[in-house]
Amino acid sequence: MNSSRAEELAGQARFVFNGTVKKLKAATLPEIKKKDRERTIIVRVDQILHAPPIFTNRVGQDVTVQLKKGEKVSVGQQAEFYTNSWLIGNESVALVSLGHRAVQKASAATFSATPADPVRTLATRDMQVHVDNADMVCSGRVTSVRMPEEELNTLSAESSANVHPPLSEHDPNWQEAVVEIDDMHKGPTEKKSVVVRFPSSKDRMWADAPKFRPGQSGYFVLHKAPMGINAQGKVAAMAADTIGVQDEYYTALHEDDFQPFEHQGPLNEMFTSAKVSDDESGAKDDAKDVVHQA
Amino acid sequence: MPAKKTKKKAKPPTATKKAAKKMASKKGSRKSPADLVLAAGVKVLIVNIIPRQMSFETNNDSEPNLDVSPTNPLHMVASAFTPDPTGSTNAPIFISTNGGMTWTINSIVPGGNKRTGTGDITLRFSRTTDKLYAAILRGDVRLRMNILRTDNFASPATMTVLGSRDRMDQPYVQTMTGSGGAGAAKDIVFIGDNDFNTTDGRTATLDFSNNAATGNGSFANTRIDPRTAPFGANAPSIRAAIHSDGTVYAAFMHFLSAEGPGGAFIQRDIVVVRDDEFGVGPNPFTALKDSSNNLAGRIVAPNRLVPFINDAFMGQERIGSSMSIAVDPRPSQSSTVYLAWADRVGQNDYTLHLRRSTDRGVNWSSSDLLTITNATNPALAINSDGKIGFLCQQYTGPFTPFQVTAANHWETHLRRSTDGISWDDLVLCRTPANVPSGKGGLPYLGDYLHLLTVGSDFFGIFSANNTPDPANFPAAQPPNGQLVFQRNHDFNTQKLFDINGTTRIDPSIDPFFFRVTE
Repeated sequence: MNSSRAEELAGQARFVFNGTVKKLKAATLPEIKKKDRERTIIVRVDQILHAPPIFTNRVGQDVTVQLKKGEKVSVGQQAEFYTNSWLIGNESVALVSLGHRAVQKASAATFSATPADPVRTLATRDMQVHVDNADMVCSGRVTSVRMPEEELNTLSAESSANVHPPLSEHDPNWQEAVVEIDDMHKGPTEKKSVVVRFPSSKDRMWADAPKFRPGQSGYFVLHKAPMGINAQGKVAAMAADTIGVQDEYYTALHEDDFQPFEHQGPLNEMFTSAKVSDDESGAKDDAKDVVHQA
Repeated sequence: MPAKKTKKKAKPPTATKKAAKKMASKKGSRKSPADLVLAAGVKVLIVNIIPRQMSFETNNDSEPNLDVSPTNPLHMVASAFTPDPTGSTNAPIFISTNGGMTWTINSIVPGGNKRTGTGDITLRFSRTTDKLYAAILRGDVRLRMNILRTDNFASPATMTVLGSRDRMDQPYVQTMTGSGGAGAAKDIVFIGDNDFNTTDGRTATLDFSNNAATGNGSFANTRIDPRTAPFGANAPSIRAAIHSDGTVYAAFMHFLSAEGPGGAFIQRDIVVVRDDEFGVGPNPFTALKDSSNNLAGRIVAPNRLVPFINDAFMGQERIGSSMSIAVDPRPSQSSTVYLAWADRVGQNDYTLHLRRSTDRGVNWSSSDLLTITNATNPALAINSDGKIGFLCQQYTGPFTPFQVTAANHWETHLRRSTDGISWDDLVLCRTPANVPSGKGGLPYLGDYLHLLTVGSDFFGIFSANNTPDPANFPAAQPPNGQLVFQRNHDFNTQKLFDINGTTRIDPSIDPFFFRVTE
């Protein structure tokens, strides 16, 4: 496997580790029946390269790996495994292999700038993808929170005789946060403020969306969405071609769409390094490119 | 120390394994595999289904669902608002291959998100094979319903999307196979859902297929409320009950009017419709008419106040749409149908009602068979002897809206009756309602749970505070009960621990599987 293929697999795999093959056609979970063990192997985890928190303490432990069709290994072989989760049970876990390659010299160091912390490596990678997919990334402060004006207008026009009831427990109850921009990291640099729509609902469907309040400051990772007023007179996200769509609005719907400055998360890491790099070089590069360098 | 303890408890009793082995080698045994899972004398089994490897988790694993494979009752699947612990783009289901004694997770549901996994989810096995169907709202695209299928619930392959539609809510799937005729040996799948793609308020919908096992299932859909309601919509709970003879009942709440802040105080009719041919005729779900308007749908209870309060109104839980319907599964017994729903009868309550019809939904008991104050999440199932089971969760202690104290509890009850008049009452779980705090969002316990039968036994699932205190599970006390926590715990100190066995983990909401043997 060449390094570009390895990089591609690393982008798809949640758990990448160096391991030693201990047994073929075997499994560490009783849920994988004998008839289903044709492609499963037991692997000892020797070194973790990137991982979600649940897999951080696996060094020295045996895990089950289901090989891809046609993928071959032998007992005693050491390899760098690119895997995703399959079964998480009581005694062990099973993984699905996306591929493997020979263990690289100084594997962890070449894999990441933070080889000592495989969880941070994965979190940073995930955030980089999230930033790449965003329409605007800025740092700033929430100055006010309000109900969208068009919804206020509808509500005030509604007579008591024809009150619209809530349609669904998943109604988002959109609100707007006005954000004063300090630094623009990705997006229109001339903007001094931005209106961010966010769901204020406590429903689980919207639970991971940030709930803004005045005074909050941090990094905002925003995504444009077409919106309008629905039949109930409420602001609603709509498909772009729907009748009633008024405009595109910046929204924050994901827990990674806001990160307070005081939180030592990946955004802080990216943009602090980006700012240092910017200050040092005096470069005026596009912020996205700077983020990539970080 | 706690880890070792848990490990030991999580394993099925040796006697059980031996029995299962013996069963496997004894062809023609009249006992089903599930009969052999429980240790001798145990009538009630309750299992916290969070796997030990996920001992760290403190999610609000609410709104659970469950099914047991009719063709192999050792095979079970469950769901809840549980995110994939590795942050993958799929959401997990819980699976068991040993009759519910142990559970693992398998992330095969497309469209997960980091916080809740999938959105709403319900799942059912085929009645004739191990194929599994699920109806979900995706976690990545809000209000997008997917109808899913897999041939092997234990494989790592993502479930196949059979159908997809936007602006949908609360899909609740049921499966059946016909006892004869065109439906014989075919996978009949009905999904009650709330389809907002209309402006006339007739949102109550059934998506259905009479041969879901092949291709994409060719699902059709039909709106089942004949009456329009331009200012409103049907309530989220739309439920179907299917009999193998072709009878399908469906229940929903029709919108009449709304008033009060945000239109939260809603008047509704409680309605049941029926079809006699698995919904395949020219005018599906019009077999039952109400004499008051000669329209399809018998109004079982007219003009009820059903408050829709999407906030922590009752013990940190929201209220607004609770409903269940069950038909007697025995041959020639499809005329008997039970219906449960919640509404308000006093000033601040949320009260469950249970009614019955024995003439195919034409006439209903004039008064409640059971009335349960301040309760939610009704679930009904009838066993092979015609015995009805009624599962629900009741909020007890002093009631003040939007307030909860240590004096309040959530109690999960299973009541059973052979005649609808005399009922027993098993308290499966009784936990403090103020722990954990509802920071995980709504619903707190769920907008539904599930009860089903295999043969004469009742199987179900509920979500509750996961403090490992055996006193919280009265029906699981020995010698007739058994309580299993898979995740690391200590029953003596009533504490939860991380996978390392030493780091304390705070209580949260977990799904609990149960089996009650007749």
